[in-house]
Formats: sequence, structure tokens, C-alpha cells
Amino acid sequence: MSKRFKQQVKQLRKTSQLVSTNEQSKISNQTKENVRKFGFLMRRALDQGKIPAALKNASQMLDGLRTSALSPKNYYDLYMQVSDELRYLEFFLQEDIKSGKSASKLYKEVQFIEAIVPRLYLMVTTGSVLIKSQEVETQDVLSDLIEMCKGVQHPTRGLFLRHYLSQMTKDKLPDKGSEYASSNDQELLSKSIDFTIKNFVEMNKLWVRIAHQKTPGNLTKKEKEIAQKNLDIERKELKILVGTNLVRLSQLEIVTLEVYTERVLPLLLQQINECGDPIAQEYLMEVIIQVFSDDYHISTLPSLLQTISKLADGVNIKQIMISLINRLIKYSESNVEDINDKEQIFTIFSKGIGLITKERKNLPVKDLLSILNSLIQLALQLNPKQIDYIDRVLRFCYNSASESGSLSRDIIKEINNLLTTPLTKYNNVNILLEFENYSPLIELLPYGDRRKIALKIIENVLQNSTYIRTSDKVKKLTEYVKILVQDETDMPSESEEDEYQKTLFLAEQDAVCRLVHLLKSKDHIESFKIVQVLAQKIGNGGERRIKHTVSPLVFSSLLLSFKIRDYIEDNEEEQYPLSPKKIFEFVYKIVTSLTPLFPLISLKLLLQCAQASDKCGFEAISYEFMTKSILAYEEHVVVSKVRFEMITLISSTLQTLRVFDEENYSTLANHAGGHSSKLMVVNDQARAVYMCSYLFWIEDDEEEDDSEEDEEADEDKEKIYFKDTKRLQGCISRAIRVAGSLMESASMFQLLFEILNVCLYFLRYDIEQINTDYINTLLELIHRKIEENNTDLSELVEPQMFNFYKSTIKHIKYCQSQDETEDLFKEINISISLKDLK
Amino acid sequence: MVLILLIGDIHIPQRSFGIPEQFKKLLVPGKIKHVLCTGNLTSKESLEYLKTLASEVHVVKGDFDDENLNFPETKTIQLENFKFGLCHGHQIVPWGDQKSLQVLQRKMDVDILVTGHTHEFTAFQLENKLFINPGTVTGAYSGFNDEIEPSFVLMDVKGSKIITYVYQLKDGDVSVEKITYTKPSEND
Repeated sequence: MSKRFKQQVKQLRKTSQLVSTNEQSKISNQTKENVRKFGFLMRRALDQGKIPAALKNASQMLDGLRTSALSPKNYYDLYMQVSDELRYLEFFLQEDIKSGKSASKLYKEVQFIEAIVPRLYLMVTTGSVLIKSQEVETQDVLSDLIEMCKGVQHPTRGLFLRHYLSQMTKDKLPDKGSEYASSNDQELLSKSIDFTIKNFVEMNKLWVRIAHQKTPGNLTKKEKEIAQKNLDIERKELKILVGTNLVRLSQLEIVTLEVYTERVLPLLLQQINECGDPIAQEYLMEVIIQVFSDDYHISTLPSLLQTISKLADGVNIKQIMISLINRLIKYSESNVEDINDKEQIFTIFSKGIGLITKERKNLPVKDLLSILNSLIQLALQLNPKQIDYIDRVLRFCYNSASESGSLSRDIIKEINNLLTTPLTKYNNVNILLEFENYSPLIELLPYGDRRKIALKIIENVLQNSTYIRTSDKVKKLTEYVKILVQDETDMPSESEEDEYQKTLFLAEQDAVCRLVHLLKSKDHIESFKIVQVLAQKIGNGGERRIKHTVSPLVFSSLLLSFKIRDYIEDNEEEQYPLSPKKIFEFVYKIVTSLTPLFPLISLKLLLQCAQASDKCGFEAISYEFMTKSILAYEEHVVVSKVRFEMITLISSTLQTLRVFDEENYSTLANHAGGHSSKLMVVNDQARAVYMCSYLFWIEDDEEEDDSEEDEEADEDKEKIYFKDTKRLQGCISRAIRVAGSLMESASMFQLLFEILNVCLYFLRYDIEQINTDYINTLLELIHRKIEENNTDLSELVEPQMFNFYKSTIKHIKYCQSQDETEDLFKEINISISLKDLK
Repeated sequence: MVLILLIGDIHIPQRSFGIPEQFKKLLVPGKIKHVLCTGNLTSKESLEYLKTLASEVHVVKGDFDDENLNFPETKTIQLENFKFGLCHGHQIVPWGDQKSLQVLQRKMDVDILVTGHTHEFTAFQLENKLFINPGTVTGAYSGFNDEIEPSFVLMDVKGSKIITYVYQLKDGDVSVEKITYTKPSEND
């Protein structure tokens, strides 16, 4: 070391001030060089068996650690280098002791070294050797060392010295069953605890004081700020040195729950409280939470929470609380039965959080909500049935959030989490519906978030197939998801929606529609109440939603009408307060009011209603539904293609109904037939008209089945059994005439083939008008039409239609060959047709 | 060998909240080659679901399907030695009537006619042709048949032979029935 440099170091030590980065690296390099040099000399002396010389070299090497100029990080590098060398020394000295030297003597010798830092390092090194030699009581050496270390009060130097002490003694602390304990005397062993806590307390004080080291004086204000910042960062990097003491405590067998509660934790918390340094407090709380076991935490919750509430302003309370709660959640996942006083835990937390909010007025609402969300998770884990408790926490969240005025994105995120946590944990919306404070929390959210959570709720119901079985619950559920069911005041207008939002809207309505099918009771009276609640909500949904939501409501109601009918029949309950008729009156209002808005939806639903009321045996109602559907057709259906589809749908629905008396049926059939014959497109007209022929020959479905049972057969005769063969023939003849007038031959032939098949259908019923003569005339007509075109049929129609005719003729042949149809079909003359098909 | 799924009258969301879980477990992607859907899906989501099951999805229009989806009224599909005809069935009268279905089979010139609409599984042979209605996979409400069990059909087609598996959900349990059909030679 040059003289000038020595001077510099001396100067710096006096002012106890850090130097600039450049100078630091210069000093650091120089010092490291010295360490290498004296380390080398030390090893050489050791190898030569010259212990006093080695100790002198070691002391010279340790001089490097006396500097005050280095930042914690640079000092740390230096320390690491030195401790490597010291390990060598310790190892050598130990070997020496084994060969008969006195460790106590060695320990005394190093105490004559003048400079305090080298002296103490060497005392710790030789002290460690002394303990191992077991020449004296371990506790005596430990208390001597811990006392002596007080001599170094410079923060960095003191911290590292004590770290060295801690490292050198870590495997030598007397504990239950350890080789360094001369007895298992409780008092004696507890000295290990005292030693560790003392060292911890001192290290923490020193560590905190690093923050108050002075930065170089010649810096500008900005440079000073940066230097201070770097110092903080470097200080944080050293935290592990302090924390190691706590790890050691947690590893001591002697630290039982009782000892921890009564001796250890109070001292730790006292130090945390007294040091007042945010970085230290935050870190140490975290370490305590992580290193000590969960059941210790459960037993000491009140004092932990008390301390947390009093931590310095800069401490991230949220993180600490969440760490603590998460540990308990994890613990309860596997040990939920071991936890006795679950109620107690919540009471303590409630008090603790109350205290925190009281003590820390500036705790951000988002942090508070985040803590409460963790608490809800814990509650759900420990005792999910504690709905009241969770509800109270939600209330507290609501109050805290609503008091904070306009909500930041962070708070919104927390509220979303608070709502989602119980939803996904329970996976049963029925439980969610028991909360009083869930809905108010939703209402705090902005429009877009309300939509998202509402959709999440419905999706949860659907995914878990959760039935909701009372009208009160349904009412409440519609409150939760009302944003999807009706307009809200803060809703953006439809014209502002982009493609994504339009798709989203449809997805939402789809979810609402599916939901409807899960809202039903096993009790039909309650189910009726449910559909009434739904009708009221859906009815207020506005046209855009009603278009989608009305159908599930109607189908759900119709299904209910069948259930009521069956219940009354099965139980012979004539006094049952609810009749399917009530349901039909209820849907009648809904579906008819829909007609002007959505005529096609309404028309199809009216036909569905007519079928259902037919099945339940209500003639007048069924007639009313049919009339309304025909009116809807007349007044609202204009597109030609759709007119065909709708009138044939009306006809084929009517064909299935059996409840009418002859007159009513006849009237409806007339209307269907009349409208069919008025269709503009000739193809459509012919087809719709021949389809109407089926309206005039209706066998009662059940008659055949019950024919053996006279009584029921008699009853069935009261049911409609409609035939009007004259009108039947009228339809077919008209269809043939219309088809024959077609200019386009391919379409004409196709229609004629279709009509031929209709005739064959009726032939088996031995109907007066549709006999073999009639069919032969039609076959001749087809032949004549082919002749008129002066070409083969295969030229006139597509192969598929050619095959249609061919297979129809084949079918006639088949029927002629079967015993049961032979008589009816044998007179059909297919010879010319067979020629046409060649 | 080709595995074909016959499915239809889904009616989600108007009449049902979803395909039963028991069925969803059976309907796994990768095995089925063709889906023949008899219509009334009645949403885009149902179509998307079918598309996850197989690459070839054939759909015809049901009476409650959206016009904008542009499904055809009928469709013929040749698979192995069979010509399949697909139609929802609300267009024929009387609904579900065997004789009328036969007319449609002749008109479409097919070996196997697949229709829906009645929400009731049926399978029968007439004059050597096969008629199948896979019923409703969701057990959706129907106005003319009020005892409805969810069902669908899988067909294993190999050359001129078809093994048909009918899956029905009865009181929460899936039952499977097997029907074998062999195509008669053309000379019959």
C-alpha cells in the first residue's frame, strides 16, 4: 500500500463517508490485492507451521475490512474473498488443535491484536475452533463473542462481522440433542435463542443504519439522489444477512410453540416495531411469515396483525397480509381438520383488519380490497358454509370502495376479483344468490365490467348445469345479470357498437336464452311463478333482446303445460290450483304481442302453441292460436318464398291437430287451402295445394292401437276423425291442372311425379275419387306430355327426376306383387310408363 | 371404413341449454369422418360445435334455422357404396309418415334417407331402403311428441354394409343399440 493511499483511506475512515464510484473501484482493487498478498503469506506461514506469523498475516489481510469507503456491494465482494482465506485458516487451526495444542490459548493470543476489526474476526475464527475443541462451555464462548462484537458499530463493518459470527457458529448452537449442549437444561439451551436474537437485533440495527451513511459531499443534488437510491438497492441486497438469523431460530428444536409465542416472537416484533425502517419491517415480516410454521402463525395471529397495523408508512402492508393469508390457505388445504377454532380465526382477522384501517388511514383502497379478497379465499377454504361472514366482508368491500369516489382501474380489478372468487369457488350460483352484498358490488362497476361479470355468472350456471328452483332466487339472479336482460342508463347506443360488440351481444343473449331452461322448479306452481318473473324481465328487455329471449320463454312455458297436464292426470287432482289453460293464456299474450314486431317468430310460436294446447285438449284455445297464426300470415308475410314456407307449415301443423270439432277444423282447413291456392309462384302453388289434400283425410292416430279395447275406441270416436274426399280430390285435381299449365317442362314433370305419388298414397285408403282410373288418367297425362315434346323423357328431365319416375313405377309394381296391396293396385296400367322409361 | 354421425334437432338455445354431458363425452373429435345434421341447430355455436367433431359437416335447413345461415333444404352425399339423402323433414306431410318419407326417398333417389323433426329416434326398412331419424340430441321440446329422450346415431359404413349404433339417454344413462343393414344388390 502506498503511503498516499494509506493516507487517503485514513482520511475517509475518519469522515465515515462513501467515496465516488471511480474511487471506490480503485480502493476496492487495491484492497483485494492486499488480501491476496497477505492471504498468500498466511497460507505459506501455516504450511510451514508458523502459527504466530500466520495470525499476523491474517490480521494484516483483515486490515482491508476496516475501510469505510466502500459501498455495501463492494464491501461484500471483499468480505467473500476474506472469508475464503479465513476458512483455510480455521481448518488449519483445527488440525493443529487435534495434534494437542490448546484452543483456549490460541483464543487468548489473538485478543492482543491491536486493530479491532482484525481482532474480532480472528476471535470469531479461533472461538469457533475453541467451541469445537469443547475445552470450555459453548455458551460461555458464545456470550463472550456476542459481547465483544459490540465493539464495532460502523454499520457495514459491524454487519459483516456479525454475519461472520453467525456463519461460524450456525452449526454449533446448543440445541436439543446437539453435540455442543452439555446438558438438556432448558435455561441453558435457551441461551442459543438469546444469542441468535441478540445477534439479529444488532444486525438489524446496523443494517438499518447503512441507509443513513453519508454520500460523497461534492455531488450535485441529483447525483446525491442517485447515490442514495443505489445505496438503498445495495442495502436491500444485504437483507438476507439479517434474515438468516430468523431462519436459524426457526430451525432450533428448542423453539417450541410455547417458547416461540412467549419469548421469541415478542422480541422479534419488538425489534421490527422499534427499528421503524420500512425496508427492514417489510422484509422481516415476510421472513417471519415464511420461515415459521403455520400453526405458530395461527396461535399468534393477534400479535402479528397488531404489529402489521403499526408498521411504517412506506411498508407494503398488502403484500405482507396476502403472504400471511396465503400461507394459512395453503395450510388449510391439507389440514383443514386440524384447525380447531375456525370462527376464531375470522374474528381475529376482522379485528386485525379493523385495526389496520384505523391505524393506516392512507392504506390504498385497492390494497385493502386485495387483502379482503385473500381473506375471502381463506374463508372459502376453511368453511365455505360461512356465507354470513363472507357476505359481511363483501359489505365491507362495498363500503370501502363506494367511499373512495370514482374508481381507479386497480380498484375495479379488485372488485372483479372479489366477485369472481366466490363464483368459481362455489361453482353453484344458488349459494351466490344468498349473499346480500354481491349485487351492490356489481353495481359499483362500470358498464363493460358489469357485462363481463354477468356473462361469467350465467356461464357458470350453464357449465355446472345448476338448476335454480325458486322464483325468489330467479328474481335475484335477474338482478345480478340485469345488464344482459335490459337496457342500462350508461349503455352505449347500438350505433356505436363495432363488430366485436355486436357478436358479444349475440353471445350474451345466447347465454341468457340457454339459462332460461335451467330456471325451473319441481313444483309446477313455483315453475309458473318463475316463468312469470322471467316474462316480466324479458318483456322489459327491448325489441333487440326480445327477438332472442322470447322463444326460450315460450318453449319453457309449453313444456310446463305438459307437465301440469300429466301431473293432474297421474294424481287425479281435480282441485289442482293450476291448469295448463293458465299457461296458454299466459303465452297467448306474449306471442300475439310479438306479431307486429317479429311476425315470423310469432307465427311459428303460435303454431307450436296450437300443437301444445291441442295435446292438452283445449279446443277453443288451439283454434285461437291457429286463427292468430293465419292472421299473422295474412297481415305480415309478404315475401313470396316465405309465404310458401309459412302456409305449408300452417297446413302441416293443422294436419297434426286432433282437438277440433268438424266445423272448426273445416274452417281452418279452408283457410289453409285458400291461401295455398293464392300463392303467386305456380310451382309453389301446385305444391302447397297438393299438400292440402292431406288435410281432408285424417285418421285418428290412436284408433288403430286401441281398436281392441271397445271402451277407449268409443271415446276416440269423439275425437276428430276428419274426411272430406271431395275436397281432397279437389286439391289434387287443382294441383294437376296448375302443374300442367307450367311452361317449363322439367318442373312440370317433377310436379306431376310428386302428385302421382300423392295419389298412390291415398289409393291404399280406397277413396272413392282417388281410384285406379284416376291414376291411370294421370299416367296417360304424363305420357301425353312426353309425346307433346317429341323426345324421350330422359331428355326432358334431370337423371334424378327420371329415376324418381322410374322408382315410382317400380313401387307400383311392388305393390301389385304384395298380397295386402295387390287388389288396390292391380288395375294400374304401367305399360306405357315402362315404355317412356326405356 | 367410415364413421358417420347422424345428429340433429339441437335447438340450442331456444329449447335446450346444451348437449347432455354424457353425450359430449362420447362425441370426441378425430374419429368421426362425416357429420350429417338434420337441421334445427338453431345457432351458429351448434354449427361450430359440429365442426369440431369432423372435417366434413353436412347440414340441411330446419324450420327454426336462421335464413341467413343458408342451409339447403335437402342434400345428397355419396359415402362408400351408399347414397345418403338428408332432409329435416318438416317439408313433408304428414310429418314423420313412412309412406311420405318413401316418396322423398324416391324423389332424392337415395339408398338411405336421414330425416329429423319428430324428435324421436326411428329406423326402418321399406322396399330395401333404409330410413333413419336420429331424434334430438338435446332432448329438445316438441309439440307433437311429449315424451322425448335425447338421442343420436353413429354409423359404421364399410363397402355395402352399415352397422348403426343408436345412443339414447334414458334417466341419465346412455343406452346403445346396434342395427345392421346390408345393401341389396342392384338386381333385386
